Amino acid sequence: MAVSVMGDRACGKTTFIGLLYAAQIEYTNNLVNKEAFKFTADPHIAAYMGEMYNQLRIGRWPDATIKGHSSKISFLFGYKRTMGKAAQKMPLPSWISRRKWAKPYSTLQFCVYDVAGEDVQDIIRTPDGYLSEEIPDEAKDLLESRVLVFLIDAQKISAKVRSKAYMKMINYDKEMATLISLIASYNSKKTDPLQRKIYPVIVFTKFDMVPRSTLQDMGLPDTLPKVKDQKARREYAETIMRRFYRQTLAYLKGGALKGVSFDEAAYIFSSVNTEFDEEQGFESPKMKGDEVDYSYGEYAAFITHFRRIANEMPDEIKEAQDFDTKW
Amino acid sequence: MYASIVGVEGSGRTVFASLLYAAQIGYSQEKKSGFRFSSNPRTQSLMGEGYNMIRGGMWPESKFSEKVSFLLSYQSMDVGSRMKRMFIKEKEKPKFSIQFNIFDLPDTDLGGSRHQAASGDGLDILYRSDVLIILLDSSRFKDGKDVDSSLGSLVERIKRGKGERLKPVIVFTKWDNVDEKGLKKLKLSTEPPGINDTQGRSRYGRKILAKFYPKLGNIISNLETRYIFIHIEVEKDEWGEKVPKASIDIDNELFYSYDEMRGMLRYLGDIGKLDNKKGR
Repeated sequence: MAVSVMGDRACGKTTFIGLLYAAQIEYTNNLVNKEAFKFTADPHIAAYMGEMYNQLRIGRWPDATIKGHSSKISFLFGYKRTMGKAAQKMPLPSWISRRKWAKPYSTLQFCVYDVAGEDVQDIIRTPDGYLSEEIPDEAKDLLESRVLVFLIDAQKISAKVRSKAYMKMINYDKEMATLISLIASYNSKKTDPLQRKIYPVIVFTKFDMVPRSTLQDMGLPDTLPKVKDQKARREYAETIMRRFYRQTLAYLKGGALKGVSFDEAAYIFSSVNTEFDEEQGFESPKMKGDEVDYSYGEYAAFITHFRRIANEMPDEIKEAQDFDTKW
Repeated sequence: MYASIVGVEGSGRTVFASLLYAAQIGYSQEKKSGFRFSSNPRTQSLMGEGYNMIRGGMWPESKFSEKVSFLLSYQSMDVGSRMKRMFIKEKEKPKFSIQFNIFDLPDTDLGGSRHQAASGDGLDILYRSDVLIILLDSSRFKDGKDVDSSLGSLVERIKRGKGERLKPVIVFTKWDNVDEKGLKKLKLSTEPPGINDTQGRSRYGRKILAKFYPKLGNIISNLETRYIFIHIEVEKDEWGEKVPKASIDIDNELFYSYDEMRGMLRYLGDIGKLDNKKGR
């Protein structure tokens, strides 16, 4: 199953990928998770992600080079299959999981896209819209994704109406809504209801940069609701969405009118603790021991969230085999 | 069910469409409204741009030369007890949709073939409209008679097919700049009766139509008609130009007649509900 990670330029994609890589390592090596989760990527992508991670580990921001990178950033998540909803945490017996036919892992193929407003406009301006043969393959992959991860740069949240920052923010909101409308229109043609179910994930990057006063104006506390308290987190995030990204929120709800469900949006808040680096003259990632000090709990929740999706959506056989061969 | 918005040039179609979009967003976020909306990506982009321009203190540019169409859907919350609602599947909840289209009507005779030639395609949908939203510029009542004949002819033509099932909604745009002299002559205050006073509003609206849009008023006299009064508050920008007033209010970031718009959306929902029950 394909997952697309989308974000405007300079929204923190590179750092997000670097932190996700760090979280993947920590999550995989956590003995509690045992064999439940694995990830992999092609060697050159793994090297690239490792480089981002290493930069963070020495207190530097990774270079923003996704657009310039010669190939698409893509990696694979694999979740050990369980015996159904009643026994979600129970791994399959090893004599079953060793069999090819059991497809022991549910997989998710992540692809990272650099989506700017003009890219979306390019698709909708072609005479046939998403049906056009002129649409690049990358855009087609995006339209076919079952999971959409939208990155929202929380540093760009601005309550100062009419300021440049405010206009930039509301225009990004409009572009996300257009993209959702585009994806809903594209998927509405599919006959299989499962293929018409899209899982949106909204990731607020640089969430530590949102001014306290902005949160207070909305009646929100400085501290985020706990990861386990899904209802409170949704309410917290949707308060922000209703205030600043209201078109996106409205179109996520509206997808159902086209028979495409976007209803179960998940929200993740990414942050990195920083300290002033006198040598470089700006805020740099703070270290905690020999690791970067970031919101690991949020990233772990991100990885866990995808387990449920992977279990719900049946894999293409090819994907599962693909994963098998990569191991 | 089809709803069409018609208005001649200068009647405030672009601002109306942008405010309607703003109201749709606001209404869809009200927890108990059961209201959702959707559109094709081009329309979303167009309306979203207009909405953002107003939010940024600018007047939206008129860009409705291409076909604009969007879908409103209402999901009835009236499906029984709370317990029943918990067990009813999403797809089984009663729903109905209204397809909206915006038409650009030239300021000419709309009764005959010239109308067809001037307005392009999509007219079949216009003539099948169950709800016809007619935009009238309330700052120029004195020019009303110039467009009265055209609009009257159009409504007459639609009414021929739909009969009394046609439900017009008369939207008086630019109410903040209303022709006060015109209202004075009719002994009407500039404050129309409240949104819930349907009868009072009808009397008020009919008086205006009888004086300034007599043909239109006559044709819709036996049809169930609603009257909506739209305004947007303005302020002067640094160059002294009047621009939409911005607000940092969390629930309603523009100063416009949201209650009027919401009243219209609710009314459309009520029509749709009835239409649904009749199985049309």
